[in-house]
Amino acid sequence: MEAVRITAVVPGPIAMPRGAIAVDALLMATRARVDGLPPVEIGGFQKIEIPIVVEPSRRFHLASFSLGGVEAHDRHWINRRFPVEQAQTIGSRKIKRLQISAGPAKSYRLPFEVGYLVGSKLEWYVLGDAEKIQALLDHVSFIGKKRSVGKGEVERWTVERSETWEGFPVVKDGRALRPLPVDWPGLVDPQLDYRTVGCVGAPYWDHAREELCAVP
Amino acid sequence: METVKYEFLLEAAEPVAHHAESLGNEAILMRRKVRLRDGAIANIPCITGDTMRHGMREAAAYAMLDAAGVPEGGLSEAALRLLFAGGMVTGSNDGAIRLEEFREMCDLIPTMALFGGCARNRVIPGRLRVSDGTLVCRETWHCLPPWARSWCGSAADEAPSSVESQRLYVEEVQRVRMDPTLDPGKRKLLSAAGRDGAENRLLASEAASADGDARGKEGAKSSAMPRRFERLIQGSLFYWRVEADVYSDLDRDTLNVAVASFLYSARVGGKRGTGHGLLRAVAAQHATLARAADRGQALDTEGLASSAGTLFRAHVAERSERIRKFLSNIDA
Repeated sequence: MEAVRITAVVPGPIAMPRGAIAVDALLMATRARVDGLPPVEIGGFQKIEIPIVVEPSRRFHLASFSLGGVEAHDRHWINRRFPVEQAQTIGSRKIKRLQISAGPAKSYRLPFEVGYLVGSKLEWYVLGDAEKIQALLDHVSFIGKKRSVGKGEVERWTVERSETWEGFPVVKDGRALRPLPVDWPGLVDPQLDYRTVGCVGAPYWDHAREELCAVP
Repeated sequence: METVKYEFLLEAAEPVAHHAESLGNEAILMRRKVRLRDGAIANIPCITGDTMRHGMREAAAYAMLDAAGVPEGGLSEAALRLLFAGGMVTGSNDGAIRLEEFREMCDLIPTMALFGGCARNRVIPGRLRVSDGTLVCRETWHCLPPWARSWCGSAADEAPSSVESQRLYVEEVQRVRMDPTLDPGKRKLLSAAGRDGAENRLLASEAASADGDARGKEGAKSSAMPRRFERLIQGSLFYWRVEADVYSDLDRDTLNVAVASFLYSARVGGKRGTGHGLLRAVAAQHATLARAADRGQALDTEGLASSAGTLFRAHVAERSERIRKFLSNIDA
């Protein structure tokens, strides 16, 4: 295992409504995709091995969250329209009346924010096996939310050896680079919030497991 | 698992009126920000990935219904919602979808596995990633892959002279919804009462104009409605990319059906009834990715259309009874 820096070049818009992207979760999701596992909402959470070191108490991987700023924002929309035309042509005769202003056939147009990254890139620092990480990331061509409609397209991944520092790869200059237990060594005056500390045992979005953490 | 990637250059066979919003009575084209080579950010017209993906979903749904022999009038509101709009989380009390139900659903409706959707109280993620249609212009030249640049005349970093700034691909046109009561010939078709009403309104309008009475003129104005809109000119080129994770030959064939059926008559944006929005593929590349950087091979789009769907149609036809039953009971 070695100190590794991962860089994703994302020239276009990227949607990150929950903030930084966790590379350990990304690699686990990729492993699940490659192995054809059912969606976690249906098949349940399964422990997936990834080539990143897990910290001694086995709560989280030694990997930072994504680092990189956003220099411009844009507003995109999620639209849903009930297929009225199809209801009129191929729908059952039992469909007598469609309520499109309320209820299940309601149409909506929701705004969501996309960002353009400073230098068009995101970076992560991890302790892991660079070659195996690269092999998994080769399957990832979109990151963030709304990937299905082309947001977060990755032009290329770079996985390379990195210099290290005190607290590598989760603390730098006393600042948490990912959600960490509040007593994690090296933190200086940490900012606290309720988050899921790791995804070794469950996904980050399992809010029932949120606890007070030092956050980036 | 394999990741299959198709890339296309699409040509606007008709002007494209894909709008984001209206300001007053002017419709504004959908645009997205693009970082230029010098770091500046510009708003460039595009066709959203949502539009392209929805077109594929709709085309694939029709192909599936056709193969399954679902008769017209055979779909419930929930089935329509699932097939054509991805369904919705209904909050039903029937509990979550179990793994075996999920597998059966993906087996019965192969397009569901590809596009994803919502059924009962679960969101089922799709395996398809569809990019925006990027207008080929000077501002987006650096975003295009080498094969697309070569097709457009130059593989160099600088766009050839035949590729213009995005501004030249946008035109502004006006249409008017006429008021038939302004035409004396058509007024003759009115009932006596209707004709009197129309003529009185015209007289009132004339009198208000002559008197400079703005309020009276407003009250008696005709229903003619001029409106303006931006559109992308005929012949504009778009770079478009589709990528999907496939786990079987059936998955691959379903993807081919979705792409080929959509491209057979791809229309995007508004004003489709008046000669807008038709796209046609003029060049394509195909790649099965082991690495994201793998180079693609030229793809014959006509060949794709003729070979696509054999497996898909046989699979769906074999299960047509079960599919109809499934669709009649679905909660989505």
